[in-house]
Amino acid sequence: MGKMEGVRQMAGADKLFREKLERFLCSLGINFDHLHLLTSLILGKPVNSDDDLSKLSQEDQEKIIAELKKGQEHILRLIQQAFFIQQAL
Amino acid sequence: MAEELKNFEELRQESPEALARQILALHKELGDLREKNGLLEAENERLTFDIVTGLKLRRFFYEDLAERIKEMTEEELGSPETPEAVAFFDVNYLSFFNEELGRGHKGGDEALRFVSQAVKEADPSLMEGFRHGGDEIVGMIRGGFEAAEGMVYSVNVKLKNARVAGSELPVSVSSGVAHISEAFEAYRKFIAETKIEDPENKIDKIMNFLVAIADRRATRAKAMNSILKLIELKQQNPELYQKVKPYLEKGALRIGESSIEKLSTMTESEKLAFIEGHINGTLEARFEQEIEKIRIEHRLIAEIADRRDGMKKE
Repeated sequence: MGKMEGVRQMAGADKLFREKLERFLCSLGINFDHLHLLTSLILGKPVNSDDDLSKLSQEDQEKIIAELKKGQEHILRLIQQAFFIQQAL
Repeated sequence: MAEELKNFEELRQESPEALARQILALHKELGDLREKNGLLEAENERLTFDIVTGLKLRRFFYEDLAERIKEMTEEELGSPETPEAVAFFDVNYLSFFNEELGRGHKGGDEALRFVSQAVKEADPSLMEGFRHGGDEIVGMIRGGFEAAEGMVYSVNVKLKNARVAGSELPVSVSSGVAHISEAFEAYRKFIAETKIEDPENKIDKIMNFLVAIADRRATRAKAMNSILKLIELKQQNPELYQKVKPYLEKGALRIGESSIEKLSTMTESEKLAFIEGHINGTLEARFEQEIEKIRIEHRLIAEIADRRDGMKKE
């Protein structure tokens, strides 16, 4: 399923979750287009579209928010770690 | 009034031809003055607004901010409720737009215009944008921290579909906000630590802290955005990854091939230690340099003042 299709099929609650995520990303200075990749890195499993995002469990959603709440330094470290590991593989 | 009546009376006594000549001369003078006025207005425009973005220039940001801080009481400066914040918007990979699209700086200018337009339209009653430097636009916000974050959100929403013609990468920004109370707290700590009171430069110092804090956050954000883009492109578009890598690595804290090679030989715990060192050694050092600059400046002002006092005594 493409990203646009995913957006169309998002239910109200999921849209709210996406907007909440976007606002968190903004507070960290991160662009919206990294939303799926960042959630993948946090959860350690693929989140490739809004459709994937809408299927996340409550537990996963809470985990993402909890990680983002830890702030810029924490997220930067997480991203750098993922990058170095990807490069080193 | 009597003088004006006298002049009027003299004019009435002139011949119609002489009057016509005078009117023509006055018309010409008026035309010259209008032309001069137009040139002065254009000059004023050039000295006030950035030619690329149409935003006011950097010095007006500092002048306006200084005026606003000057009006605040200590209580207002220290209160998180005070409606005074700034947001930095760093255009991501601007050099890519400048160098890879075959249009010289026009590519980068297009990206800057998208961002400046988004800043202008976010909420003109709350935020005014200024061109701060090469890839930086700064917003002066009449609101608290939440309002500032709201402005950042609004700018990002407006940039969702922004594309420079011919570019594979979208136009986006890395942003950082700071509130006046944070800057005031930093200032107070600084004074307590250095034990040097410098009331004459208090406003400049608070401004420096405000800008340094927002800039630091924007720099961190840029590191995150650059790295995320590198990860994404390496997974999805290796060809584009190779093309944009040199431009993104700068924002990603200059992570070079040698660092990557070094990493491949490390254990997991060594990798983590290396990453910690890289973050702390680059970002913290950069911020510390800024603070150190302020410290040095502060000491110099104090030394000069002491010397002046000494000279007076002599």
